[in-house]
Parts: sequence; C-alpha cells; structure tokens
Amino acid sequence: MLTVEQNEELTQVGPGTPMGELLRRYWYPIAFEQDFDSVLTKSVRLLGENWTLFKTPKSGRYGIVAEQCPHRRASLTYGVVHEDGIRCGYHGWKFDFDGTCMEQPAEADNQNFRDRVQQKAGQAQVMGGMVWVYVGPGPAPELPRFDVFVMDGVKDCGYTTLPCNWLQIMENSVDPHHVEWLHGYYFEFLGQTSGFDAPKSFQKKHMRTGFEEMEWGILKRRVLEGGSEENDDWKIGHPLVFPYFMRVGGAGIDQMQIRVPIDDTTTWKLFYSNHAPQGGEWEPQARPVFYEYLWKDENGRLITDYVEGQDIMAWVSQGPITDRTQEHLGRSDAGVAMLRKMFKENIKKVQQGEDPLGTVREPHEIIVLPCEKDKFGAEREFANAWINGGSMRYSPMKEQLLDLHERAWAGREKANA
Amino acid sequence: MPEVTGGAAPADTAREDTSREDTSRAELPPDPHRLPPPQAWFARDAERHLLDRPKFCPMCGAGITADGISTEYWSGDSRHFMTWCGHCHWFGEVVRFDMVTITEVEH
Repeated sequence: MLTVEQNEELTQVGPGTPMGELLRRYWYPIAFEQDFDSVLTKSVRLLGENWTLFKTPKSGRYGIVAEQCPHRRASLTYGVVHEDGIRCGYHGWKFDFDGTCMEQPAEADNQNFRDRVQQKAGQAQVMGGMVWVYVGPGPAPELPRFDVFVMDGVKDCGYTTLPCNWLQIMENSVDPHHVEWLHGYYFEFLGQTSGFDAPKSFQKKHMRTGFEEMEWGILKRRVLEGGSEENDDWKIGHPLVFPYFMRVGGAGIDQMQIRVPIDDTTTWKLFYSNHAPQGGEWEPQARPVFYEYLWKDENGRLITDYVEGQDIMAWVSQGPITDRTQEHLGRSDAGVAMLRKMFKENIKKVQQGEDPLGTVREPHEIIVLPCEKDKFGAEREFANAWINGGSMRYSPMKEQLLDLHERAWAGREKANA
Repeated sequence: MPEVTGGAAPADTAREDTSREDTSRAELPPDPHRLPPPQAWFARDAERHLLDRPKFCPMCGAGITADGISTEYWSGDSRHFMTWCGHCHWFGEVVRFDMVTITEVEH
C-alpha cells in the first residue's frame, strides 16, 4: 500500500515528473526497421510526448524530433526528409538531427530567430530489427546491447499496445507466485472447463523465492516443488532489467519482455525471443519476424487461454493506473516493495545529477545477462508449451519454430543414445 | 466493532477485521494528502496507512515522507512498512503490531 502521492510519483512518466526524468535516461525500442520500407517518417509516442521518427533516404540514418513544428505546430511526420535533417512540409522550416533550426525560408536570415527555436530532439539507432531512441539529456549513454537482441538464432517478436501504466506490468516481474496460480491453477481451470490440455510445467508450487539487487536490476530466484537450490531456477535465476525489461529463458529460447511507457496509461508490450536450441540448425534471418498478438476477442472479452493473455488480464484489469492506496500486499510481495524502492532510489540519483542504475557509458559488443537454461526441469515440454501456449502462437513462423526445437531435441536424444 | 466514520459502505460493518484502532478523519493530515472517498470499501486501510507509516528514518532520523518510500504489507496481524530512506539509504522494515507473538521451537 502506498499514499496517493507516492503512487502518482511512481506512475507519471511525462516531462518534468520525477519518474519521467528518470525514464528519460534510457533507450527505448519504438518502431521496426520495416516501418520505414515504404515511408521515411513515422509518428511515435514515448513518455507522454509525440515524436517524429525519420530515416534518411540515402544513408539510412535515423533521427527523432518532437512532432510539432515550433512555427505553426504542423506535424513534421508529413515533412521532407533530407540527408542532414527534416523539413516541415507547411512552410519549409528545416531542422538537423540535434533539432537545430537550419532554415526558415520565409524569414530574413540576418537575425537570431533560428537560434531561438531549437526543436526538441533525441537520438536513434537500430538494433535487433528495431529502432531504438533516446530522448533524454546529453550526453546519451551507449545503447545497451543486451544478449537477446544480438545473439545468433531465429528471432521472433510479438507486440501489442495495452491500456495500462507500465509499472503494473513491471511489478508482475517481481511476483513469482503468480506463475503457479495464474499460469498453473487458473490455466488448468480454463482447460478443464473449455476442453483443452493446459500445460503442466507452470503448476509446480513455489517453495522459496528470492530477490537480489544486481547491476542490471533485480535477480529473481525460485525453488519449485520437487526441485532444489541446485536447479537453474535458483542457482542462476533471471533478472528484471531496470527499468522496463524482464529477461527470461529456457529450453533453447531466450526472451526479453519489453514494456515501453508510451504515456501514463499506455504501454507498448513486446515479447522479443531468440530461438537457438542446442544442436539446432537455422538459416540467417534478414530481419526478425514481427507480428501483433491478440488479447481481446470479438466480443471485447480478454483472451486468457494462453500465458501472456493471462498476464495481460492481470495487468489491464487493474485499471489504467493501479490504485495502490487500495491494494493489500503480503509477505510474498516483497519483490514489489523492493522494486518501488529501486525506482525511488534512482529517481533521487537523477535529481542529484548521477547516472541511474544500468546506465552504460562504455562501448561494448554484448551484455550477457544471467538467465536460467533449464526451465522448471521440463525442457522439451517447456519449449512446446511456450510456443503453443504463449504469444508465439500468433507468430507467422510458429510451425517453423516448433520444428526447429523438435529437430534439435531429436538430435540431442540421438547423440545421447 | 470499529466505529464507522465518514459514511462507510454498509458492508463495512462486516469487515471487522483488522487490528487497527478506530480513527476519525479529523486525525488525518491536511492536503496534499489525498485519500479515497470515505465510503470506499478500503478507505480505512488507506487512512491507517497514511497515519501509521514511518515519517522519519529509524537510522538517521531524516524525514522520509518526501525523500524516501514506505510500502506497507501485511503478515498476520502485523503491518510491515518496507522503508527506504533517501538521506542515509537505510533499507529495512518497520513493523507495527498490537501483540508480540513468539513461536518457540519444541522443547
């Protein structure tokens, strides 16, 4: 339980808010490379502000500026893209990648008007088939090359836009007990009442959970019924990557769960997976496969017969912003309290002019995150359940993914025989 | 039975639960501390949170209302405030209880 003020501080992401200022110290994926195949600009919304993302026609460089032209407020998304910036379609004002106004065609140039209309601008880069942006103060940190986005394998990414605050999704990542209930017991109930077989691997009871602060966020560990501290689930665990990712994995699938705060009540939710089962063989991909997964049926009812749909039910049904003055946490919610403290702690760091947790300043090739490989002690079953019973069931390459894992498993069995 | 204050929902009388003493909204600090409407089902819990959460760091004594955070969770009859002080960075729990209970090992 929190006070109204604490809840507002933790959930408001707009410019000038404490959380908004913290979140502006990180890079975010906000579009896909393929979005620019036929048009060179795209309107995007991030942290409560509207932006124009653009790609230059020859060099393929990406830039991001505030969407509204400072002249008469027309959208720069309908502008002209040059190699050195973007020009407003309305009266031709031109801005470079830093937002500096370079031209005002209808104004006399022998004055300082241009210098007084610096447009808000950020930086943009491509990684893993996605366009990432940084819209905070300079100098921008390095774009963290987390393993899932740059490792070899077959990449598949489901996405959707959810009508809720990003923090209630993040809090789910430090709530291990929900797995055995939401994805275990409730899934089983749905299976029994709707006539399908719910996966069993999620039903194991949690015997112990642990949360440990680490350099990238919070490392989450668990011991499941029948397991021990020698299992990967405890010995390695997996991290909540501060402030908006969760890294999970197992059974030859590595996944980054991404929660982009679009504004206070909207989150872009992506499940970015890399498939590289031991012994598997695959062709190099030109680009990852991106697709939208469903979470509401034609009657407006939430779709809960798959894992991520169940999570979405839990996030969205809390309302646009969870009223934390009305919640009742228990001992099993210690991770949630720890995460809130981590946000508050890093808000303060930013206010004191320090880099917050997870800021990367050194160039690097890859950041390898700790993550269990053997998931719930159910390798083959788990890969199958994850693909068929998760958002990947909406993937246009679902059958190829199942085949990849099945052939890899058969090869390992043969090698071990 | 707790006194119903501020026109609580009728069903509130059946929620005699908690170990919390009666309170009057008059006890509550003035704005900017906003609360759910008094008839809200869990309004009393939010009131008690506002009144009972730690206001000062147990380690250094600095005010933590603005420069810190206390998340309340419940365990049995106890109310735990997982607290972080923005001044000295102390992180721990302040526990409020009405009765000390001790579980002894068998002997």
